[in-house]
Amino acid sequence: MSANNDRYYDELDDYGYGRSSRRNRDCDYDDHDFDFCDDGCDNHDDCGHNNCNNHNNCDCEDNLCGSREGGRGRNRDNNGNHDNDCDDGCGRNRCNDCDCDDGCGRNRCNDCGCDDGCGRNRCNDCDCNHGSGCHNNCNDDCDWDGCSSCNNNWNESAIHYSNWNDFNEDEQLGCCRTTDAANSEEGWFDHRTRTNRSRNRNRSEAECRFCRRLLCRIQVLDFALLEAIEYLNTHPCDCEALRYYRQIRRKLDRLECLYERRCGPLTNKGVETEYGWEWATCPWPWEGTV
Amino acid sequence: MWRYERKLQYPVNIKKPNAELAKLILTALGGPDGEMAASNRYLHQRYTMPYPEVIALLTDIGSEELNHMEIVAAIIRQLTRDLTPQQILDSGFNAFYADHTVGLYPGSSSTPFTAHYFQSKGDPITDLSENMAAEQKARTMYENLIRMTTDQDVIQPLEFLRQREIVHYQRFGEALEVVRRNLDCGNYYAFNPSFDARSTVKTK
Repeated sequence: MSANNDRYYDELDDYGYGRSSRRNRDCDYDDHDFDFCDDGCDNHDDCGHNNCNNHNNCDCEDNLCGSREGGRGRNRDNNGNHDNDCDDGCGRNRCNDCDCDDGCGRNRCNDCGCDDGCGRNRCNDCDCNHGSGCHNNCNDDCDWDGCSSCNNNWNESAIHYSNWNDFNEDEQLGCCRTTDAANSEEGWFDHRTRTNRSRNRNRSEAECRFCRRLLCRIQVLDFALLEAIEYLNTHPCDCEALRYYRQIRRKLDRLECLYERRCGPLTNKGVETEYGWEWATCPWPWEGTV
Repeated sequence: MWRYERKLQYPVNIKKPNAELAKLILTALGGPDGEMAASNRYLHQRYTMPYPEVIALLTDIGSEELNHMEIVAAIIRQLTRDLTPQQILDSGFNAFYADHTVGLYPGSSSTPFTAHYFQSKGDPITDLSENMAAEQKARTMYENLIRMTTDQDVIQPLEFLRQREIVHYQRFGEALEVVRRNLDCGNYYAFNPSFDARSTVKTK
């Protein structure tokens, strides 16, 4: 099976990040990868449902949209390139069934059954919040209050980052106001240096500032993403919010990858081991920067 | 399954210890309207919730409350760091200190955390109504704490947490609408969709 969500990685490659081990959203895999949930049945109907009743290890009828669609035709394979991204090995295609606008011209609102039996139309109900949703309020990543307490001079800072140009200028300057953490002279990286826990990573002051600022940016994007996620749970057909989600996630993936390469681990699956086991040797976030 | 991310959802950098304030803020961690109760409430309600959008919301908000637990714990930790025994004796934090030193222990200043602080009732309307009330109670608690605080380093994360209560209230209100859409619109209470088989219950 092949995968087609490589556009994320194409972008990463454009920026010279390559593929991150912890962020590998590549869907390339062998059939064997799903041996554990192989029910030995290939009787998939036209809608991607599995007609086989004996699926012990894998609930193949657990289909978010399918259960509501009442068998409506869902021929989404209109350009053929989205089907393989999300096959979970059980014959279901989560993209087909559950994703809303995936950029292939599909729209869950059109595909799913809309009448709830009470005379209301789910499509109308769930798509009516354009203009009032979170995505309009948080479109500007820099407006997060968490970044408003800082008086950093970004134009000046940009000079220091001029040789860190492997993420785009827009993102370098995007976090216009950062937190005290990012502005503090004793940021977490300095703390790490002071306690001699930095092992092999020796950074210039510019690099330290870069890392503090990058973390601030990641916090902002991560929060924006969470806000979109929670909004989407109750507005799953809001295509504007879906676009916003994808846009933020792409940025966040890139910057988290960059952070773990250059600064330190964000998760225990993102440790660059050439610097030792930094998961255990770096300061923890609740320690603050004072 | 969860994975820890090595960053706070909102930064906490407190310059000045304040044991008196720490004692008050303890309730936001393990008190009746604290983050520990919130997280447990939503994460435990998920399993009987019949609607996938609402399960998603309970999962995501329940997980966000874990972030908030960490933020509150960071506030308390930084407020109680580098205190002298005399400062503790003078502060009203002394009783807590006697039992826990400056260890983080969830509860309000007088009562340990208890599961009595939240409900999981196995009925979607009941559970979501509880959640909406809980978010409002937590908002009130944060407003009370903010009123008693002058340190901007503490007020800022508290204001962030207060804002999140309001957003979550909004989302749970929408989730309640999702539930109602799936019920008998002539009688929302005709059956409990978490328990009764729809086909066996006469509606209308």
